[in-house]
Amino acid sequence: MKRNDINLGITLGIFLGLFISMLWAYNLIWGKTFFGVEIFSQYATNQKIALYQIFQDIRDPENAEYKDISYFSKDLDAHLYIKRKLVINGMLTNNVLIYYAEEISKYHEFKIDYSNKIISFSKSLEDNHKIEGLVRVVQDNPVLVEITIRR
Amino acid sequence: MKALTQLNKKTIYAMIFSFICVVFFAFAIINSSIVDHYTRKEEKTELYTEWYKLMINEPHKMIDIKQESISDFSIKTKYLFYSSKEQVVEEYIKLLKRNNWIRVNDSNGYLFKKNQFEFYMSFNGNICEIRIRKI
Repeated sequence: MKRNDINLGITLGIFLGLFISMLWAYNLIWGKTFFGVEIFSQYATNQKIALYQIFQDIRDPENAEYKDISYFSKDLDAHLYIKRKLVINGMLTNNVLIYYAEEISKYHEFKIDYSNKIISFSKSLEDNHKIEGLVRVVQDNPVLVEITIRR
Repeated sequence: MKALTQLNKKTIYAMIFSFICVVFFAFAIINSSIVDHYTRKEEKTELYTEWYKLMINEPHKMIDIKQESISDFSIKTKYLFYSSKEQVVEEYIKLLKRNNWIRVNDSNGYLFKKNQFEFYMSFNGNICEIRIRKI
Protein backbone atom coordinates (compact mmCIF):
# COMPACT_ATOMS: atom_id res chain seq x y z
CA MET A 1 0.00 0.00 0.00
CA LYS A 2 2.81 2.38 0.98
CA ARG A 3 4.74 1.49 -2.15
CA ASN A 4 1.68 2.27 -4.27
CA ASP A 5 1.31 5.68 -2.60
CA ILE A 6 4.95 6.56 -3.38
CA ASN A 7 4.62 5.37 -6.98
CA LEU A 8 1.49 7.45 -7.38
CA GLY A 9 3.32 10.51 -6.03
CA ILE A 10 6.30 10.01 -8.35
CA THR A 11 4.02 9.60 -11.38
CA LEU A 12 2.00 12.70 -10.51
CA GLY A 13 5.22 14.70 -9.98
CA ILE A 14 6.64 13.56 -13.35
CA PHE A 15 3.45 14.53 -15.21
CA LEU A 16 3.23 17.89 -13.44
CA GLY A 17 6.94 18.59 -14.06
CA LEU A 18 6.69 17.66 -17.75
CA PHE A 19 3.61 19.84 -18.19
CA ILE A 20 5.26 22.91 -16.62
CA SER A 21 8.53 22.31 -18.54
CA MET A 22 6.70 21.94 -21.86
CA LEU A 23 4.86 25.23 -21.38
CA TRP A 24 8.12 26.94 -20.50
CA ALA A 25 10.08 25.41 -23.42
CA TYR A 26 7.28 26.15 -25.88
CA ASN A 27 7.22 29.81 -24.94
CA LEU A 28 10.99 30.12 -25.30
CA ILE A 29 11.31 28.31 -28.61
CA TRP A 30 8.25 29.44 -30.54
CA GLY A 31 7.35 32.63 -28.66
CA LYS A 32 4.06 34.20 -29.58
CA THR A 33 3.19 31.64 -32.24
CA PHE A 34 1.42 28.30 -32.41
CA PHE A 35 4.32 25.95 -33.28
CA GLY A 36 5.81 28.53 -35.63
CA VAL A 37 2.49 29.54 -37.22
CA GLU A 38 1.67 33.21 -36.68
CA ILE A 39 -1.64 33.73 -34.97
CA PHE A 40 -1.61 37.31 -33.72
CA SER A 41 -2.41 40.39 -35.77
CA GLN A 42 0.22 42.34 -33.82
CA TYR A 43 3.26 40.98 -31.97
CA ALA A 44 4.92 43.99 -30.38
CA THR A 45 3.44 46.51 -27.97
CA ASN A 46 3.02 50.09 -29.15
CA GLN A 47 5.93 51.12 -26.91
CA LYS A 48 8.27 48.61 -28.48
CA ILE A 49 7.18 49.61 -31.98
CA ALA A 50 7.82 53.30 -31.18
CA LEU A 51 11.23 52.42 -29.77
CA TYR A 52 12.31 50.47 -32.85
CA GLN A 53 10.85 53.03 -35.25
CA ILE A 54 12.82 55.87 -33.61
CA PHE A 55 15.93 53.67 -33.69
CA GLN A 56 15.54 53.04 -37.42
CA ASP A 57 14.43 56.57 -38.32
CA ILE A 58 17.70 58.14 -37.20
CA ARG A 59 19.87 57.50 -40.24
CA ASP A 60 23.64 57.26 -39.88
CA PRO A 61 26.20 58.80 -42.24
CA GLU A 62 27.09 56.56 -45.20
CA ASN A 63 30.62 55.98 -43.98
CA ALA A 64 29.45 54.35 -40.75
CA GLU A 65 30.95 51.06 -39.66
CA TYR A 66 28.76 49.08 -37.26
CA LYS A 67 30.40 47.59 -34.19
CA ASP A 68 27.57 46.37 -32.04
CA ILE A 69 23.80 46.36 -31.73
CA SER A 70 22.30 45.22 -28.46
CA TYR A 71 18.83 45.34 -27.00
CA PHE A 72 16.64 44.30 -24.14
CA SER A 73 13.10 43.83 -25.33
CA LYS A 74 11.03 42.22 -22.64
CA ASP A 75 7.79 44.18 -22.90
CA LEU A 76 6.89 44.08 -19.22
CA ASP A 77 10.34 45.04 -17.98
CA ALA A 78 11.16 48.66 -17.22
CA HIS A 79 14.50 48.46 -19.05
CA LEU A 80 13.33 48.30 -22.64
CA TYR A 81 16.13 49.59 -24.84
CA ILE A 82 18.01 49.20 -28.11
CA LYS A 83 21.49 50.50 -28.68
CA ARG A 84 23.97 50.66 -31.55
CA LYS A 85 27.66 51.50 -31.58
CA LEU A 86 29.32 52.65 -34.74
CA VAL A 87 32.55 54.18 -35.96
CA ILE A 88 32.27 57.10 -38.36
CA ASN A 89 35.32 57.60 -40.50
CA GLY A 90 36.28 60.88 -42.13
CA MET A 91 34.22 63.18 -39.90
CA LEU A 92 35.19 65.29 -36.91
CA THR A 93 33.33 65.02 -33.60
CA ASN A 94 31.54 68.37 -33.98
CA ASN A 95 30.48 67.52 -37.53
CA VAL A 96 29.08 64.21 -36.30
CA LEU A 97 27.10 66.01 -33.59
CA ILE A 98 25.77 68.53 -36.12
CA TYR A 99 24.85 65.70 -38.51
CA TYR A 100 22.83 63.89 -35.82
CA ALA A 101 21.26 67.13 -34.58
CA GLU A 102 19.92 67.74 -38.11
CA GLU A 103 18.78 64.15 -38.41
CA ILE A 104 16.93 64.18 -35.08
CA SER A 105 15.39 67.60 -35.72
CA LYS A 106 13.30 66.00 -38.50
CA TYR A 107 11.32 64.11 -35.85
CA HIS A 108 11.98 65.46 -32.36
CA GLU A 109 13.06 68.44 -30.31
CA PHE A 110 16.46 67.87 -28.82
CA LYS A 111 19.15 69.22 -26.50
CA ILE A 112 22.76 69.29 -27.52
CA ASP A 113 25.66 69.42 -25.09
CA TYR A 114 28.90 70.03 -26.99
CA SER A 115 31.11 69.81 -23.90
CA ASN A 116 29.88 66.31 -23.03
CA LYS A 117 29.31 65.41 -26.72
CA ILE A 118 25.73 64.33 -26.10
CA ILE A 119 22.45 64.91 -27.92
CA SER A 120 19.32 63.97 -26.01
CA PHE A 121 15.68 63.93 -27.02
CA SER A 122 12.42 62.39 -25.90
CA LYS A 123 9.00 61.47 -27.21
CA SER A 124 5.84 61.01 -25.17
CA LEU A 125 3.52 58.24 -26.25
CA GLU A 126 -0.26 58.24 -26.09
CA ASP A 127 -0.22 55.83 -23.14
CA ASN A 128 1.87 58.33 -21.08
CA HIS A 129 5.08 56.35 -21.44
CA LYS A 130 8.13 58.24 -22.55
CA ILE A 131 10.81 57.16 -25.00
CA GLU A 132 14.22 58.73 -24.50
CA GLY A 133 16.99 58.92 -27.04
CA LEU A 134 20.67 59.59 -26.51
CA VAL A 135 23.41 60.10 -29.09
CA ARG A 136 26.79 60.10 -27.39
CA VAL A 137 30.25 60.45 -28.86
CA VAL A 138 32.36 57.99 -26.89
CA GLN A 139 35.67 58.48 -28.64
CA ASP A 140 37.06 61.21 -30.88
CA ASN A 141 39.52 59.79 -33.38
CA PRO A 142 38.04 57.86 -35.10
CA VAL A 143 34.62 59.01 -33.92
CA LEU A 144 32.83 56.26 -32.01
CA VAL A 145 29.14 56.97 -31.51
CA GLU A 146 26.65 55.21 -29.25
CA ILE A 147 22.96 55.66 -30.00
CA THR A 148 20.56 54.48 -27.32
CA ILE A 149 16.77 54.53 -27.46
CA ARG A 150 15.05 53.47 -24.26
CA ARG A 151 11.73 53.52 -22.48
CA MET B 1 -8.23 20.18 -3.50
CA LYS B 2 -10.34 17.33 -2.13
CA ALA B 3 -8.19 14.88 -4.10
CA LEU B 4 -5.06 16.43 -2.62
CA THR B 5 -6.29 16.04 0.95
CA GLN B 6 -6.87 12.37 0.23
CA LEU B 7 -3.20 11.90 -0.69
CA ASN B 8 -1.01 10.91 2.23
CA LYS B 9 2.23 12.65 3.20
CA LYS B 10 4.52 10.12 1.49
CA THR B 11 2.65 10.51 -1.81
CA ILE B 12 2.99 14.30 -1.62
CA TYR B 13 6.72 14.12 -0.75
CA ALA B 14 7.30 11.68 -3.64
CA MET B 15 5.38 13.99 -5.95
CA ILE B 16 7.40 17.06 -4.93
CA PHE B 17 10.67 15.13 -5.30
CA SER B 18 9.91 13.82 -8.80
CA PHE B 19 8.51 17.23 -9.84
CA ILE B 20 11.75 18.96 -8.81
CA CYS B 21 13.86 16.32 -10.62
CA VAL B 22 11.90 16.68 -13.88
CA VAL B 23 11.94 20.49 -13.78
CA PHE B 24 15.67 20.50 -12.96
CA PHE B 25 16.56 18.28 -15.95
CA ALA B 26 14.23 20.23 -18.23
CA PHE B 27 15.87 23.46 -17.03
CA ALA B 28 19.33 22.07 -17.84
CA ILE B 29 18.26 21.04 -21.37
CA ILE B 30 16.33 24.24 -22.14
CA ASN B 31 19.04 26.42 -20.64
CA SER B 32 21.65 25.04 -23.03
CA SER B 33 19.44 26.19 -25.96
CA ILE B 34 18.92 29.60 -24.37
CA VAL B 35 22.64 30.08 -23.79
CA ASP B 36 23.29 29.17 -27.42
CA HIS B 37 20.63 31.65 -28.57
CA TYR B 38 21.69 34.52 -26.35
CA THR B 39 25.38 34.12 -27.11
CA ARG B 40 24.87 34.61 -30.86
CA LYS B 41 25.88 38.20 -30.24
CA GLU B 42 27.84 38.77 -33.43
CA GLU B 43 25.17 37.16 -35.57
CA LYS B 44 22.54 39.32 -33.92
CA THR B 45 24.58 42.45 -34.55
CA GLU B 46 24.88 41.43 -38.23
CA LEU B 47 21.14 40.72 -38.47
CA TYR B 48 20.10 43.99 -36.82
CA THR B 49 22.65 45.95 -38.88
CA GLU B 50 21.10 44.61 -42.09
CA TRP B 51 17.63 45.34 -40.71
CA TYR B 52 18.67 48.90 -39.85
CA LYS B 53 20.35 49.55 -43.19
CA LEU B 54 17.43 48.34 -45.28
CA MET B 55 15.12 51.30 -44.84
CA ILE B 56 14.17 53.54 -47.72
CA ASN B 57 13.72 57.27 -47.56
CA GLU B 58 9.92 57.24 -48.00
CA PRO B 59 7.39 58.45 -45.42
CA HIS B 60 6.17 55.49 -43.41
CA LYS B 61 4.93 54.21 -40.07
CA MET B 62 6.12 51.03 -38.44
CA ILE B 63 3.08 49.05 -37.37
CA ASP B 64 4.62 45.85 -36.02
CA ILE B 65 7.91 44.12 -35.38
CA LYS B 66 8.60 40.49 -34.55
CA GLN B 67 12.09 39.79 -33.36
CA GLU B 68 14.17 36.67 -33.75
CA SER B 69 13.52 33.62 -31.58
CA ILE B 70 15.27 30.28 -31.06
CA SER B 71 13.14 28.66 -33.76
CA ASP B 72 13.26 31.53 -36.27
CA PHE B 73 16.36 33.73 -36.61
CA SER B 74 14.68 36.54 -38.51
CA ILE B 75 13.23 40.00 -37.97
CA LYS B 76 9.83 40.67 -39.47
CA THR B 77 8.68 44.27 -39.71
CA LYS B 78 5.43 45.65 -41.03
CA TYR B 79 5.31 49.19 -42.40
CA LEU B 80 2.57 51.38 -43.67
CA PHE B 81 4.04 53.44 -46.52
CA TYR B 82 2.28 56.60 -47.60
CA SER B 83 3.58 56.38 -51.17
CA SER B 84 2.45 53.91 -53.83
CA LYS B 85 3.48 50.25 -53.84
CA GLU B 86 5.34 50.73 -57.14
CA GLN B 87 7.41 53.55 -55.68
CA VAL B 88 8.22 51.57 -52.53
CA VAL B 89 9.27 48.53 -54.58
CA GLU B 90 11.42 50.67 -56.86
CA GLU B 91 13.16 52.36 -53.93
CA TYR B 92 13.80 49.05 -52.18
CA ILE B 93 15.21 47.47 -55.34
CA LYS B 94 17.55 50.45 -55.77
CA LEU B 95 18.67 50.24 -52.15
CA LEU B 96 19.20 46.48 -52.26
CA LYS B 97 21.22 46.66 -55.47
CA ARG B 98 23.33 49.46 -54.00
CA ASN B 99 24.08 47.17 -51.05
CA ASN B 100 25.01 44.21 -53.31
CA TRP B 101 21.91 42.09 -52.70
CA ILE B 102 21.08 39.65 -55.50
CA ARG B 103 17.50 39.06 -56.60
CA VAL B 104 16.16 35.52 -56.53
CA ASN B 105 13.01 34.65 -58.48
CA ASP B 106 9.99 34.23 -56.27
CA SER B 107 6.43 34.33 -57.48
CA ASN B 108 4.84 35.51 -54.23
CA GLY B 109 6.99 38.49 -53.34
CA TYR B 110 10.42 40.04 -53.68
CA LEU B 111 13.27 37.82 -52.56
CA PHE B 112 16.90 38.91 -52.39
CA LYS B 113 20.00 37.24 -51.00
CA LYS B 114 23.35 38.47 -49.78
CA ASN B 115 25.96 36.23 -48.15
CA GLN B 116 24.01 34.34 -45.49
CA PHE B 117 21.10 36.76 -45.36
CA GLU B 118 17.75 36.70 -47.07
CA PHE B 119 15.47 39.68 -47.64
CA TYR B 120 11.84 39.04 -48.42
CA MET B 121 9.24 41.72 -49.09
CA SER B 122 5.52 41.19 -49.61
CA PHE B 123 2.46 43.41 -49.64
CA ASN B 124 -0.95 43.04 -48.09
CA GLY B 125 -2.91 46.04 -49.34
CA ASN B 126 -1.04 49.12 -48.15
CA ILE B 127 0.96 47.16 -45.60
CA CYS B 128 4.46 46.11 -46.54
CA GLU B 129 6.00 43.22 -44.64
CA ILE B 130 9.75 42.81 -44.67
CA ARG B 131 11.55 39.77 -43.34
CA ILE B 132 15.32 39.69 -42.92
CA ARG B 133 16.59 36.24 -42.08
CA LYS B 134 19.92 34.61 -41.51
CA ILE B 135 19.93 31.37 -43.45
